[in-house]
Amino acid sequence: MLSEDAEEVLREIAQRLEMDIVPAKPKDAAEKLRDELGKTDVFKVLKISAKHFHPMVTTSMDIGNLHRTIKSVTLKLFHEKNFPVDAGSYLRVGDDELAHLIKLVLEGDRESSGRFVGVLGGARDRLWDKFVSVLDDVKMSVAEWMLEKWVGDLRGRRIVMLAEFSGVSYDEWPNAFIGDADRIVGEGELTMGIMQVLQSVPISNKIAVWFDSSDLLRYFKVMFRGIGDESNQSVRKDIFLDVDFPYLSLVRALLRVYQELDSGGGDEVERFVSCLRSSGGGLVFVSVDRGDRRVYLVPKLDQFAENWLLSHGDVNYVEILLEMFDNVQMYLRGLENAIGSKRKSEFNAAKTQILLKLDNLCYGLLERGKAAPSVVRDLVDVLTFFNVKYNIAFPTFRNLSIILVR
Amino acid sequence: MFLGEGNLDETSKKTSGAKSLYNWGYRFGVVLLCNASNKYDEDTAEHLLLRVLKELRNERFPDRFKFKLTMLLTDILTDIGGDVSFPSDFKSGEDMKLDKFYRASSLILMGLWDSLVRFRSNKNDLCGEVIGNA
Repeated sequence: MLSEDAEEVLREIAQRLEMDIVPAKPKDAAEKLRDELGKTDVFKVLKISAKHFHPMVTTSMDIGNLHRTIKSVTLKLFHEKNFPVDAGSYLRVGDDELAHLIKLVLEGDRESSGRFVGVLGGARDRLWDKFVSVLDDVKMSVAEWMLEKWVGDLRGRRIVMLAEFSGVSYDEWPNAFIGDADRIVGEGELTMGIMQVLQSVPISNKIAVWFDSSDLLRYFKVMFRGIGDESNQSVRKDIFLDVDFPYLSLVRALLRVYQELDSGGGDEVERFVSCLRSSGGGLVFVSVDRGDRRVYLVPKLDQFAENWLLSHGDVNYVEILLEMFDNVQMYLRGLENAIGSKRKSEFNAAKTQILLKLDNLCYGLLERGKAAPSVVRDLVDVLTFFNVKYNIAFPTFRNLSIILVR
Repeated sequence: MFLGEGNLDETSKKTSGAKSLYNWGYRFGVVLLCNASNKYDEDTAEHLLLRVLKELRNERFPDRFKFKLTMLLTDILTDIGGDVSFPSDFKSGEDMKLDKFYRASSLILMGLWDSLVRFRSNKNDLCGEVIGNA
């Protein structure tokens, strides 16, 4: 375990940065919860609310337990107020029924709750506070969760593997440590690692990025403030928000920040490019599922900025790249229709194959500032395969060909 | 922009090397689709192009790709007619480096696919261009 001092420092950092780790305040999530209650069951509501959290937290959070907690808290309150629900056997209460009851309390619906109005008294406010505090608890436990996971996973591992969240621990394979036994993960690296996670900015539902440049981080924070907001129509339509391909998401995020700044006018966009050119790199955190989290290194972004963001004659490469992403998105929708809604797994397999190639292509753009020809050929082959199999066509290869010969 | 959609000859003159390969693929696709649809029908034309795409996609080595491309060109153009020269990048007898080959073959495949998309959306204009260019 970490020493108490180190743990204290980490806790302080976590608390200071809690607005970063939970971009939307718990109160917002609770409000969302109230809006959705009655429309759907509690479990779904919790899942929607969870989207307000940092992707690293959301996918690691035990939503099932949170569900049970809220359910039991609610029923206990009902019981205290003599609401006609048997708190002892709350498991028998269906989600829909519970959602309806919570809605009655929260909205103080006099007509529907009728004879219970007098009994409810201050229950509504208390229940409301409970929702907020339960979500608050989750937020506060994030720092502890970070500590536990990082300490448990990384302590005693090779420092060189830090970025991979894995590697071999000294206990597991002492021979692997010959020559670099002093380079195993210590408290300093752990503290740094946790800070990186806490400071990272979510750019999609599963991915967060961290850069060594605080200016770059600031641009991302401003741009991706509303990420995970399901009420946003354009966000809901975005197929890339739920994918777990790091470089693909990063390139798209960089281009979107650039485009946003460029459309705003002024010299902000030049500062952004200058930040990218001087940046030393960063990390992409991907959280796929509970227990499945990965970290990828972001290479230095000077080549990327040089080749794709700076203007080169009349050609706007940012638009070309963004159009390519749009084409892929359009194609995937066409593919989904062609495969049919009943064969979801078949579509998911196809989607993964295509996006994996695109992710490889994006890695080349980031690392060398160029698309690797073999990767482009792979992508074309995969698209050809699905085009022929499902009798559809990629909207146009125009953008991809420009990217290839750049 | 180097792309030859609707303006094949002009863009070919302006660009060279890798860029013109996309145009070559596009042009070959257009000639194949238009001539085959005139001689047979649209379905057969599309079927022929898909055959070309499938066969070329399977070739991951320069020599085999070149061999297959030669065969397909000879086979198909003898049947449906049309004047398409062999792409200059594949003419040389020297061994092609893999990166260069991947770039070249990808561009040809992309050009072929885009000709099919254009054919499906606007056959009349596309085939008018070919006749005009000829």
